[in-house]
Amino acid sequence: MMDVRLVAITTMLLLFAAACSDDDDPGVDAGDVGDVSLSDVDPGDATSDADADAEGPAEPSCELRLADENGEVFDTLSEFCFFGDDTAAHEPVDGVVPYTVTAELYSDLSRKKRFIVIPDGETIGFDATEPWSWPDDSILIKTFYYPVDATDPDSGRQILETRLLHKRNGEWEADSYVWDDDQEDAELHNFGRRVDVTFIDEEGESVEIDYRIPNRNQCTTCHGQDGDLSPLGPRTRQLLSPYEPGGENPTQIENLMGRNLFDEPPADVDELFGVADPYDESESLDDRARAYLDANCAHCHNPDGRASSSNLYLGVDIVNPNRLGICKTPVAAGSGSGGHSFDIVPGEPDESILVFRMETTDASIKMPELPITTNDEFGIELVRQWIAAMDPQDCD
Amino acid sequence: MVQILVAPNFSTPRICEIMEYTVRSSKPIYLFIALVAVAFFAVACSDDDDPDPDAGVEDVGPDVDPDPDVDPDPDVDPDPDVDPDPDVDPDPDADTGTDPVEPFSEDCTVGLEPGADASATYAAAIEAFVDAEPGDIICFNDGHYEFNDQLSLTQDHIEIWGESRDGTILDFAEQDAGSNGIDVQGVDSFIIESLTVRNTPGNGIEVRDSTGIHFDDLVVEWEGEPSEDNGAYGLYPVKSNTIIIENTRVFGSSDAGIYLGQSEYGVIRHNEVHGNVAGIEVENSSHVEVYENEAYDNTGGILVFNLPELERAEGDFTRVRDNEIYDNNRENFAATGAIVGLVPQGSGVLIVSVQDVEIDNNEITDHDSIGIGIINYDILPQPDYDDDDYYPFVERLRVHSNLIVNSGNDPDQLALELTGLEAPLPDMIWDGIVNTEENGEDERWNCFWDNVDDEGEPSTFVNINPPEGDGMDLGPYDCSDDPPESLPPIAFDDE
Repeated sequence: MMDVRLVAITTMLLLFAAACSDDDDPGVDAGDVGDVSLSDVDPGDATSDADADAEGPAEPSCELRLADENGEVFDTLSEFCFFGDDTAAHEPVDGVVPYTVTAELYSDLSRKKRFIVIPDGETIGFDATEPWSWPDDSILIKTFYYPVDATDPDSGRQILETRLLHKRNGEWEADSYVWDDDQEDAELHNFGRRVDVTFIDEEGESVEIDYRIPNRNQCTTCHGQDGDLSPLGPRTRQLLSPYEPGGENPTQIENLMGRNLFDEPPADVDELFGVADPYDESESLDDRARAYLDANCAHCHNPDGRASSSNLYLGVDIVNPNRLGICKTPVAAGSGSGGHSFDIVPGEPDESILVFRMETTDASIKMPELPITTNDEFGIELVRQWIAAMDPQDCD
Repeated sequence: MVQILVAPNFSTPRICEIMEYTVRSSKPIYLFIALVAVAFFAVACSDDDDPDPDAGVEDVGPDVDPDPDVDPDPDVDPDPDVDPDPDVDPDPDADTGTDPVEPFSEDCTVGLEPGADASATYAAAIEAFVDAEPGDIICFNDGHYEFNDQLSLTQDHIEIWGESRDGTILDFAEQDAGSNGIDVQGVDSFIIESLTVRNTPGNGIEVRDSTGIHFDDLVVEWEGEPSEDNGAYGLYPVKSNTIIIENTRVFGSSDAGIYLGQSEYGVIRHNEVHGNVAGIEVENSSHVEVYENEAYDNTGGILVFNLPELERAEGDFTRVRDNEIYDNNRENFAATGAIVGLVPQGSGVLIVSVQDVEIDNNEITDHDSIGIGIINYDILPQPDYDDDDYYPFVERLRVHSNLIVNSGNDPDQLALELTGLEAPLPDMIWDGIVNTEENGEDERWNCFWDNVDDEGEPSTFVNINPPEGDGMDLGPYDCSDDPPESLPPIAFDDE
């Protein structure tokens, strides 16, 4: 299986190797690796100049702000000054920390850039296994974009949306910023939108995506945990890899530790459990598949998630085979069963409801429910292999 | 833990009644829940005229006009991002740019009407849904609305009104995102009334993880001949509590028309369910009263099931009374894998692995297979389960005063296999699988009395696995001399 992500990232690495500084603080350095700007930056721009870091980036004319004077989100993304004067470039200012997750949620082939903003002087309540506790006014930023032509690094990209999760009075709230055609800034828009996207993929093929920007009430579909919105990606199990897959730099947990962002940082990072990278074929098939299911399904399929009534739980920590779907009958799937009797029939991917629901785009059947419109061919193949490799078992 | 919060039109005294009722039940777990709940509601149930705002209790009767300007829940922090004045829309993000629609009632916060196409209709509606604040009433004026996407709602204390049940049609035939028509998740208090939801790819109206739900005067239907491709459930509250479903009609669900799942405190009354696999199904739920409904032309009329391997392991304290259940002889069209696929064609009432259930004063007429069937999950052709909290034995069942007419004369193969009997089948069929462990025998009774046919003759009966003697003899289970008490009614509002 072609690792498209690796290709993309390698491309970016080549492009922005120059952006890596000689900073001798490894924690901060890891973050700086994340300061990759996107590919349509003017080649003449200082950011692509190998010497730029020696002189230091130009001071932005704006200052990072977490909310407007009324404590509300701004009408445009640029007003936060997350990325200085050039919002589209996504080069974070001080205090805006880029991160990646080990196992990504599939989002219709879009690419993402993620950032954490913690208010000055505040820290994150670290937890080795459970979700972290975040201080008020924390902001999580996620931008979704496509390359124009993945075979041509200079072709630029098309940014579609930037989603914010921000914590206020102890509760997370969600807001979406939608990018317009001029690609200079994004406007607050919480009603969702459908966007026709065309891009050239790594194989040189033209790909059309019926991209769905979710509306704010749909955020709970994934982020609703036990009645409240909750972050999903930034947690210990997802941040125990370097910023770049296969990279040499420290784990992102160590990066955050280097920035003193944890109240009680872990004593020994090597002791922490992290999910496997589903794309990393040096990992076991079981670890890769479980990591994939954890990232793509477990936000709903857990005891506090939207699919809790199904009793199908797909987090990496689940050990009960029935909860995992093995020889488990569906509860309320209706035609979503596809004529099959069990979520997973060991050894029989074609008899397993899990695979059937990943392989369709029928709105009433497909999984995940929202918002994607295409199948994740990589994930389907991985889960197929995982089920096929299980010891056959007669479920009846 | 117990989260009984009172919806704006659910009066406090009735919740106190539920508390008292809960206290009366004898199971230790309920006693514990009741004690916690009573402590929680002590203030609300007292005459204290300064109620604790943290209790989230509002004493607003159903006749009180909801006032959208009043914040009904002191705990809710209204989103200041949202414009509080629905009549003025200065939001520069607003896409539609159309003039506000004059709603059919002055109580409405926002009015909607069909747009030029499904996309425009959806855009206007979802804007109202996203912008809704606690206390708002979203109103659909009469018209045929076509939607291409799911209508999601996550805010507390929202009402959705149609102008008229048969004139306000929300049609989801063109939906290609999300599976449910209207999808409500994690709210305190939701009311929806007087409209039709049609042709959703998945469930008609799904409400999960919520408290205080009122479905009233609705139609949910799939047009055409009922098919496996229709959505599973018409009205689908799940993992919720304090639920009223009334005055609705549901047609064509490929699972259950009205399905109350993994929930607590529900009333299902005055509904008409037909053309579904199951008309009404109560599953892994407690304290539910199903009464004065009309269930016909389904595969099975009314089901009360408790299934293993679910987070909520209890299915008990449910009463099914005074329903008209007739001619549920539709061929089973459920998808493979669905538990209702095991419902024999021609079933009136089926009970699976529940405790403390009462089936009384129903008219159960013209069923090819089974009038009333009582089944232990363990005998169903289902895989083994591993669930220590699950109790598969039907106990403390009261079946009485039903009129059962023309039952079991043309049973389908599934009914014959399940019962191991030959046609014609008796009116009441119990598999007789009982818990034979020592101790607690006194709590393991099931009772049948005063069930008759249209000529006043006693209903026929079989215990398929009698401990001794003739399984057709009702004698050991006839409690007419000393009938157990009926389950108390479940009520939330002043009727």
